[in-house]
Amino acid sequence: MKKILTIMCMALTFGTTLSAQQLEKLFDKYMEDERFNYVYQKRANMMDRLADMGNMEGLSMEKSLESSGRQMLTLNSTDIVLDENFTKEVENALKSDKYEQVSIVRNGKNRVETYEKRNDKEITKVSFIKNPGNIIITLNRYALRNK
Amino acid sequence: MNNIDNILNNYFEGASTPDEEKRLKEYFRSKNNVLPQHEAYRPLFAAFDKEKQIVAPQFIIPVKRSKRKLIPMRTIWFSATSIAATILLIFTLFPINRNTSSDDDYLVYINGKAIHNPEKAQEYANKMFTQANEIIRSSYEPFVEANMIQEELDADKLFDKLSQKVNNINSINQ
Repeated sequence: MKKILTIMCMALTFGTTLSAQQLEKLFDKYMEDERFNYVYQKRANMMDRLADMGNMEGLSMEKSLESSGRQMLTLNSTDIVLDENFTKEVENALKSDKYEQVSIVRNGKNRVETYEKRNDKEITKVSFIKNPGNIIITLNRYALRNK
Repeated sequence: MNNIDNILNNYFEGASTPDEEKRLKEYFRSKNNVLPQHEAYRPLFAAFDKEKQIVAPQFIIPVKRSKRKLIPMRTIWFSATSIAATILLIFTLFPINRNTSSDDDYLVYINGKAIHNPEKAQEYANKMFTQANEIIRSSYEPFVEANMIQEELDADKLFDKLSQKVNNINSINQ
């Protein structure tokens, strides 16, 4: 009985930890896939950060935030099934990583969704762009500076 | 023979000398010379002789066995599971991230092929991020415009502006 309980506890801990990184795993999974383009930048500078957020919000200007990297995954495909499957994967990853949806903008067939996750140490922002035949997902990490 | 009796007496009183004891032993060892009255003591001295023949058994020092205690399987199993779980946790919490291990600031894969030239990688990265930002910006444009129109059509603001104009006209007329 003790053994079973121990295994269950370990599995639960392991599972919880695993599920906390689903979106990053998705980037790792498809980064070398020939159907995708992948970009990673170690640290975005101030200008990049401004461009990242555009007119959406002024949060990126907060001096207490410091970029700790950004990455982007693009799928250029005419395969509708692949598009749908990838979209589902991203949505599931966002759910399991417990991202909070910040906004949805639908403009014709284009759709832009933004998500956010905060903790004591950092803020992670995700933009999920769905255009017909083109899916882009960007992930920006901002470390909170000590004031 | 009186002499033997005397020696025997001394022997049983514990007063016999080693020479006398030797004589007694030799006397009882001789099978024919022992007097009938002394026959009773023969087994005693025979026993001494037998005792003499007993060779001390060779004492073999046993090879030292390792003092390792046998660890129960349950403990081994539990320890192994704990170690495995700890290792898994470490690897999960601190994954070996290709991104951070790289010295380069940019990591770019175009259609599954890595761009090794740092300048080209940067160029591609900037281009792709700009493209994405442009899409986001253009998507939010109508929203921003709508906000601006909403602000312009705000009744309070319009009323304030009109009242300012009326006040200005009144002050000029006066």
